[in-house]
Amino acid sequence: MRLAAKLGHWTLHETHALDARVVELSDQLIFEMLVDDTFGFTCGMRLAFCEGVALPVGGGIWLIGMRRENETVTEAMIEVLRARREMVFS
Amino acid sequence: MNQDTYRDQLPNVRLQESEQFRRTLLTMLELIESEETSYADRKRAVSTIRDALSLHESKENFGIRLSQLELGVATRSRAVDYAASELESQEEKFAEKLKELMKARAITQTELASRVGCSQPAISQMLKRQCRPQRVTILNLAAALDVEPKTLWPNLNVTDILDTVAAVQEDGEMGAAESDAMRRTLDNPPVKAPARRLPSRKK
Repeated sequence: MRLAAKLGHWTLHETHALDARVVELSDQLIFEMLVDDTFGFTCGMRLAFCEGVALPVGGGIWLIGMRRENETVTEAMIEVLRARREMVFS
Repeated sequence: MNQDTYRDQLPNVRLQESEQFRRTLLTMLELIESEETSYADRKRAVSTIRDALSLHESKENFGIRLSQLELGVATRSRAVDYAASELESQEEKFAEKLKELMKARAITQTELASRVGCSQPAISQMLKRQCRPQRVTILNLAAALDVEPKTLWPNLNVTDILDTVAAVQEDGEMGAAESDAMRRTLDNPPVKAPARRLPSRKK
Protein backbone atom coordinates (compact mmCIF):
# COMPACT_ATOMS: atom_id res chain seq x y z
CA MET A 1 0.00 0.00 0.00
CA ARG A 2 1.45 3.27 -1.07
CA LEU A 3 -1.11 5.65 0.31
CA ALA A 4 1.23 7.11 2.86
CA ALA A 5 3.76 7.92 0.16
CA LYS A 6 1.38 10.55 -1.14
CA LEU A 7 2.10 12.58 1.97
CA GLY A 8 5.62 13.05 0.69
CA HIS A 9 4.11 15.50 -1.77
CA TRP A 10 2.28 17.51 0.86
CA THR A 11 3.40 20.67 2.58
CA LEU A 12 1.79 22.65 5.34
CA HIS A 13 -1.30 24.64 4.28
CA GLU A 14 -1.82 22.53 1.17
CA THR A 15 -5.26 20.99 0.85
CA HIS A 16 -4.20 17.94 -1.14
CA ALA A 17 -1.50 15.30 -1.15
CA LEU A 18 -1.56 14.36 -4.81
CA ASP A 19 -5.13 13.10 -5.32
CA ALA A 20 -6.00 12.81 -1.63
CA ARG A 21 -7.56 15.63 0.38
CA VAL A 22 -5.87 16.77 3.59
CA VAL A 23 -7.63 18.47 6.50
CA GLU A 24 -6.49 19.64 9.89
CA LEU A 25 -8.01 17.73 12.74
CA SER A 26 -9.55 19.86 15.47
CA ASP A 27 -6.92 22.57 15.23
CA GLN A 28 -4.38 20.30 16.90
CA LEU A 29 -1.59 20.56 14.32
CA ILE A 30 -2.61 17.03 13.55
CA PHE A 31 -3.77 16.40 10.03
CA GLU A 32 -5.73 13.72 8.26
CA MET A 33 -5.37 12.49 4.72
CA LEU A 34 -8.73 11.41 3.40
CA VAL A 35 -8.71 8.26 1.36
CA ASP A 36 -12.25 8.29 0.08
CA ASP A 37 -12.62 4.93 -1.54
CA THR A 38 -9.34 3.39 -2.40
CA PHE A 39 -8.74 -0.26 -2.90
CA GLY A 40 -9.30 -2.33 0.15
CA PHE A 41 -11.11 0.30 2.14
CA THR A 42 -14.21 1.23 0.20
CA CYS A 43 -15.81 2.70 3.31
CA GLY A 44 -13.00 5.24 3.20
CA MET A 45 -10.36 5.86 5.78
CA ARG A 46 -8.33 8.65 7.23
CA LEU A 47 -4.65 8.66 8.00
CA ALA A 48 -3.68 10.91 10.87
CA PHE A 49 -0.28 12.48 10.68
CA CYS A 50 1.71 15.34 12.06
CA GLU A 51 4.26 17.48 10.40
CA GLY A 52 7.63 18.22 11.89
CA VAL A 53 8.03 21.69 10.49
CA ALA A 54 5.09 22.93 12.52
CA LEU A 55 6.84 21.87 15.70
CA PRO A 56 10.18 22.93 17.14
CA VAL A 57 11.99 19.94 15.75
CA GLY A 58 13.36 18.78 12.45
CA GLY A 59 11.05 18.28 9.52
CA GLY A 60 9.33 15.15 8.43
CA ILE A 61 5.88 13.72 8.35
CA TRP A 62 4.87 11.11 10.86
CA LEU A 63 1.93 8.81 10.57
CA ILE A 64 0.40 8.57 13.99
CA GLY A 65 -2.95 6.96 13.47
CA MET A 66 -5.64 5.66 11.24
CA ARG A 67 -9.38 5.48 11.45
CA ARG A 68 -12.20 4.44 9.24
CA GLU A 69 -14.26 7.11 7.58
CA ASN A 70 -17.37 5.95 9.41
CA GLU A 71 -15.63 6.05 12.78
CA THR A 72 -16.50 9.12 14.82
CA VAL A 73 -13.74 11.28 16.22
CA THR A 74 -13.80 11.04 19.99
CA GLU A 75 -12.06 12.98 22.71
CA ALA A 76 -10.14 9.84 23.56
CA MET A 77 -8.98 9.53 19.98
CA ILE A 78 -7.74 13.12 20.01
CA GLU A 79 -5.94 12.46 23.30
CA VAL A 80 -4.21 9.42 21.83
CA LEU A 81 -3.17 11.30 18.70
CA ARG A 82 -1.91 14.19 20.79
CA ALA A 83 0.05 11.76 22.95
CA ARG A 84 1.56 10.06 19.95
CA ARG A 85 2.54 13.40 18.47
CA GLU A 86 4.21 14.36 21.73
CA MET A 87 6.06 11.05 21.76
CA VAL A 88 7.25 11.47 18.21
CA PHE A 89 8.74 14.84 18.96
CA SER A 90 9.91 14.25 22.50
CA MET B 1 0.84 -7.29 28.86
CA ASN B 2 -1.98 -6.28 31.19
CA GLN B 3 -2.74 -2.90 32.69
CA ASP B 4 -1.11 -3.74 36.02
CA THR B 5 2.16 -4.41 34.27
CA TYR B 6 1.96 -1.03 32.62
CA ARG B 7 1.32 0.61 35.96
CA ASP B 8 4.26 -1.24 37.50
CA GLN B 9 6.56 0.09 34.84
CA LEU B 10 5.42 3.67 34.94
CA PRO B 11 7.28 4.74 38.11
CA ASN B 12 10.49 3.48 36.59
CA VAL B 13 10.01 4.94 33.20
CA ARG B 14 13.11 6.76 32.17
CA LEU B 15 11.86 7.53 28.72
CA GLN B 16 13.54 10.80 27.90
CA GLU B 17 13.30 11.41 31.66
CA SER B 18 10.47 13.74 30.85
CA GLU B 19 7.72 14.51 33.29
CA GLN B 20 5.51 15.50 30.41
CA PHE B 21 6.14 12.12 28.85
CA ARG B 22 5.16 10.38 32.03
CA ARG B 23 1.99 12.47 32.23
CA THR B 24 1.17 11.43 28.71
CA LEU B 25 1.44 7.79 29.69
CA LEU B 26 -0.78 8.33 32.69
CA THR B 27 -3.34 10.01 30.46
CA MET B 28 -3.33 6.93 28.25
CA LEU B 29 -3.75 4.73 31.27
CA GLU B 30 -6.73 6.75 32.41
CA LEU B 31 -8.27 6.32 29.00
CA ILE B 32 -7.78 2.57 29.20
CA GLU B 33 -9.34 2.40 32.62
CA SER B 34 -12.27 4.65 31.82
CA GLU B 35 -15.54 2.87 31.18
CA GLU B 36 -16.50 5.57 28.70
CA THR B 37 -13.61 4.73 26.39
CA SER B 38 -14.61 2.68 23.39
CA TYR B 39 -12.95 -0.62 22.60
CA ALA B 40 -11.18 0.85 19.58
CA ASP B 41 -9.87 3.85 21.51
CA ARG B 42 -8.75 1.60 24.34
CA LYS B 43 -6.75 -0.42 21.87
CA ARG B 44 -5.20 2.78 20.56
CA ALA B 45 -4.25 3.85 24.06
CA VAL B 46 -2.73 0.45 24.85
CA SER B 47 -0.78 0.56 21.63
CA THR B 48 0.49 4.03 22.50
CA ILE B 49 1.70 2.89 25.91
CA ARG B 50 3.36 -0.13 24.35
CA ASP B 51 5.19 2.12 21.94
CA ALA B 52 6.14 4.52 24.70
CA LEU B 53 7.68 1.74 26.72
CA SER B 54 9.79 0.88 23.71
CA LEU B 55 8.31 -2.52 23.40
CA HIS B 56 8.29 -2.15 19.69
CA GLU B 57 11.41 -3.13 17.83
CA SER B 58 12.40 0.43 17.10
CA LYS B 59 11.05 3.93 16.83
CA GLU B 60 10.85 3.32 13.10
CA ASN B 61 7.81 1.23 13.88
CA PHE B 62 6.21 3.89 15.97
CA GLY B 63 3.52 4.92 13.56
CA ILE B 64 1.12 2.71 11.73
CA ARG B 65 2.87 1.39 8.68
CA LEU B 66 0.24 0.63 6.17
CA SER B 67 2.47 -1.46 3.98
CA GLN B 68 3.19 -3.72 6.92
CA LEU B 69 -0.44 -3.70 7.87
CA GLU B 70 -1.43 -5.04 4.47
CA LEU B 71 1.46 -7.47 4.39
CA GLY B 72 0.67 -8.70 7.88
CA VAL B 73 -2.86 -9.56 6.90
CA ALA B 74 -1.71 -11.08 3.65
CA THR B 75 0.51 -13.55 5.44
CA ARG B 76 -2.54 -14.80 7.27
CA SER B 77 -4.74 -15.18 4.26
CA ARG B 78 -3.95 -16.60 0.87
CA ALA B 79 -6.97 -14.80 -0.52
CA VAL B 80 -5.68 -11.41 0.59
CA ASP B 81 -2.19 -12.35 -0.51
CA TYR B 82 -3.59 -13.08 -3.94
CA ALA B 83 -5.51 -9.81 -3.98
CA ALA B 84 -2.44 -7.81 -2.96
CA SER B 85 -0.38 -9.27 -5.78
CA GLU B 86 -3.27 -8.72 -8.15
CA LEU B 87 -3.34 -5.09 -7.09
CA GLU B 88 0.33 -4.72 -7.99
CA SER B 89 -0.29 -6.23 -11.38
CA GLN B 90 -3.30 -4.01 -11.99
CA GLU B 91 -1.38 -0.91 -11.04
CA GLU B 92 1.35 -1.73 -13.51
CA LYS B 93 -1.20 -2.20 -16.29
CA PHE B 94 -2.94 1.01 -15.25
CA ALA B 95 0.25 3.06 -15.59
CA GLU B 96 0.97 1.59 -19.00
CA LYS B 97 -2.59 2.11 -20.22
CA LEU B 98 -2.73 5.66 -18.93
CA LYS B 99 0.49 6.52 -20.70
CA GLU B 100 -0.76 4.90 -23.89
CA LEU B 101 -4.09 6.75 -23.83
CA MET B 102 -2.47 10.09 -23.09
CA LYS B 103 -0.12 9.62 -26.00
CA ALA B 104 -2.92 8.53 -28.33
CA ARG B 105 -4.99 11.56 -27.40
CA ALA B 106 -2.04 13.92 -27.23
CA ILE B 107 -3.03 15.08 -23.78
CA THR B 108 -0.44 16.60 -21.51
CA GLN B 109 -0.19 15.79 -17.83
CA THR B 110 -1.25 19.32 -16.97
CA GLU B 111 -4.31 19.15 -19.21
CA LEU B 112 -5.35 15.78 -17.89
CA ALA B 113 -4.86 16.94 -14.31
CA SER B 114 -7.09 19.90 -15.04
CA ARG B 115 -9.81 17.65 -16.43
CA VAL B 116 -9.58 15.21 -13.54
CA GLY B 117 -9.32 17.81 -10.83
CA CYS B 118 -6.00 16.84 -9.37
CA SER B 119 -2.49 18.19 -9.56
CA GLN B 120 -0.04 17.58 -12.41
CA PRO B 121 2.42 15.91 -10.01
CA ALA B 122 -0.35 13.45 -9.17
CA ILE B 123 -0.56 12.39 -12.81
CA SER B 124 3.20 12.24 -13.05
CA GLN B 125 3.44 10.07 -9.95
CA MET B 126 0.72 7.75 -11.20
CA LEU B 127 2.60 7.23 -14.45
CA LYS B 128 5.71 6.41 -12.45
CA ARG B 129 3.70 4.15 -10.14
CA GLN B 130 4.57 6.30 -7.19
CA CYS B 131 0.94 7.17 -6.51
CA ARG B 132 -1.73 4.50 -6.46
CA PRO B 133 -4.88 6.28 -7.63
CA GLN B 134 -8.00 6.30 -5.58
CA ARG B 135 -10.97 4.56 -7.12
CA VAL B 136 -12.70 7.88 -7.69
CA THR B 137 -9.60 9.17 -9.48
CA ILE B 138 -9.73 6.20 -11.85
CA LEU B 139 -13.35 6.98 -12.61
CA ASN B 140 -12.48 10.63 -13.26
CA LEU B 141 -9.53 9.67 -15.44
CA ALA B 142 -11.70 7.31 -17.44
CA ALA B 143 -14.26 10.05 -18.00
CA ALA B 144 -11.57 12.51 -18.99
CA LEU B 145 -10.08 10.05 -21.46
CA ASP B 146 -13.48 8.86 -22.66
CA VAL B 147 -12.92 5.20 -21.87
CA GLU B 148 -14.55 2.68 -19.59
CA PRO B 149 -13.02 2.64 -16.10
CA LYS B 150 -12.11 -1.00 -16.58
CA THR B 151 -10.02 -0.03 -19.57
CA LEU B 152 -7.73 1.73 -17.15
CA TRP B 153 -8.06 -0.69 -14.25
CA PRO B 154 -9.44 -4.00 -15.52
CA ASN B 155 -10.22 -5.55 -12.19
CA LEU B 156 -11.94 -3.01 -10.03
CA ASN B 157 -13.52 -5.99 -8.28
CA VAL B 158 -10.32 -6.47 -6.35
CA THR B 159 -11.72 -3.94 -3.93
CA ASP B 160 -14.36 -6.44 -2.91
CA ILE B 161 -11.65 -8.80 -1.79
CA LEU B 162 -9.61 -6.26 0.05
CA ASP B 163 -12.59 -4.66 1.75
CA THR B 164 -12.21 -7.18 4.49
CA VAL B 165 -8.61 -6.23 5.20
CA ALA B 166 -9.67 -3.45 7.50
CA ALA B 167 -12.11 -5.68 9.34
CA VAL B 168 -9.55 -8.44 9.67
CA GLN B 169 -6.99 -5.99 10.96
CA GLU B 170 -9.51 -4.63 13.42
CA ASP B 171 -9.92 -7.85 15.34
CA GLY B 172 -6.95 -9.87 14.13
CA GLU B 173 -9.24 -12.66 13.06
CA MET B 174 -10.72 -13.68 9.80
CA GLY B 175 -14.27 -14.65 10.58
CA ALA B 176 -16.37 -17.04 8.58
CA ALA B 177 -18.35 -14.19 7.02
CA GLU B 178 -15.20 -12.40 5.89
CA SER B 179 -13.72 -15.60 4.59
CA ASP B 180 -16.92 -16.40 2.71
CA ALA B 181 -17.05 -12.91 1.23
CA MET B 182 -13.53 -13.27 -0.11
CA ARG B 183 -14.22 -16.70 -1.48
CA ARG B 184 -17.37 -15.50 -3.24
CA THR B 185 -15.43 -12.70 -4.86
CA LEU B 186 -12.66 -15.03 -5.95
CA ASP B 187 -15.21 -17.41 -7.38
CA ASN B 188 -16.57 -14.66 -9.61
CA PRO B 189 -13.87 -13.70 -12.07
CA PRO B 190 -13.85 -10.07 -13.11
CA VAL B 191 -15.64 -9.05 -16.25
CA LYS B 192 -13.10 -8.16 -18.87
CA ALA B 193 -14.45 -5.17 -20.71
CA PRO B 194 -12.92 -4.80 -24.17
CA ALA B 195 -11.23 -1.52 -24.82
CA ARG B 196 -13.06 0.68 -27.25
CA ARG B 197 -11.25 2.16 -30.16
CA LEU B 198 -11.69 5.90 -30.01
CA PRO B 199 -10.60 8.53 -32.48
CA SER B 200 -7.37 10.27 -31.70
CA ARG B 201 -7.64 13.80 -30.49
CA LYS B 202 -6.91 16.33 -33.20
CA LYS B 203 -3.93 18.49 -32.54
